[in-house]
Amino acid sequence: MIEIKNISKSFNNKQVLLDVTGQFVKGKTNLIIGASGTGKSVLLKCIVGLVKPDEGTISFDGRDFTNADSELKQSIRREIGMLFQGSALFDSQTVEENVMFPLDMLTTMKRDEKDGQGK
Amino acid sequence: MKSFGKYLILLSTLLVNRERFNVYVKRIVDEAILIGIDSVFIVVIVSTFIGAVTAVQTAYNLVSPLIPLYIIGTIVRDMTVLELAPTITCVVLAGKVGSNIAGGLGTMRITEQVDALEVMGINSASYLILPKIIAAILTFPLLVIMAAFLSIYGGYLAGVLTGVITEKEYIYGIRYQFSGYNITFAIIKSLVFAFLISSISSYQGFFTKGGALEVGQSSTEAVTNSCIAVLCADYLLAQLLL
Repeated sequence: MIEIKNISKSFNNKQVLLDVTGQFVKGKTNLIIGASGTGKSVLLKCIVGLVKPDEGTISFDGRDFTNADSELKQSIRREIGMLFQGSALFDSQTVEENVMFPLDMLTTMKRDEKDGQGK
Repeated sequence: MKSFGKYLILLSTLLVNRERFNVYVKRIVDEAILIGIDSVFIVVIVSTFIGAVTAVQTAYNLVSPLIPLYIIGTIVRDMTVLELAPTITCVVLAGKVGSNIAGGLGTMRITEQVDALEVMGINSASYLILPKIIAAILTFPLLVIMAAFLSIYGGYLAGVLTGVITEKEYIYGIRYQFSGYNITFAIIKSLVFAFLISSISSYQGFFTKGGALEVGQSSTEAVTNSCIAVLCADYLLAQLLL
């Protein structure tokens, strides 16, 4: 379960998130809906650690992500999948290489196994 | 000072939570091709012509009959090994490699590719920047050694073909009172310049904010700052090591 508590974030004195609290339970589909510029992307970026919130805490299955050291953060992030607005594909690589990238980086699978998974 | 602190923090993050060794080997080879082999052509052209021009201009200024002509070879050799090959080659590489690194990383940053790496739990700085720095440190000395040979050969061609010096005199000149330490000094310089150019350009690209216009600005700043750093380091190394 992902739990966010009292998250606040501002940029250049402009308050984007104020005291946001919520829970994302495993197995459920959650939607974050709001008008343009209301902080949906900022909230998601706070959850995955790309933006550090000014206040509040985020935890993954009880593990404090906000104040975690870089090693714990890295291990939690390896459990996260995120699709970016601009797709964020590695445009210097082929589609197959993009698909294989996490397998190359995060697993110790052999070439044949990776090829099978990739295809 | 804030930027310098940020630069040092970036360098420190390169060595923590690294990926597997195999990942780096492939990346270093790829970067070495991009940084080193793809720069061979420009280095060949620049160094050969610089050597040729140095020989011709030295001959033009040697008007006293008391000075033997073989000194032209000696001057070309020392200027090349001590200054022209390492420094001018690295200034040229700061333009070519520095803009390439900053532009590439800047584009990756604004298209969220760096964020994607971070979300996957990959140390993006280490994965993207460390191989560039290692590849530059491996390839720059080789390029500088090649530049030194070609520059001296360029001086030979220009001197002998225009008839300002004979082949025998030039060869005698480049062997006259040769100090092996100068080669060591040139290689030390190339190692330091390689680190400065690759790390400064990476820093500029990695922290790009905005859009396409800002990527261009990052590339320009990378080249400017790398050149300034190379020239400052050149002076410091000359003071310290000569």
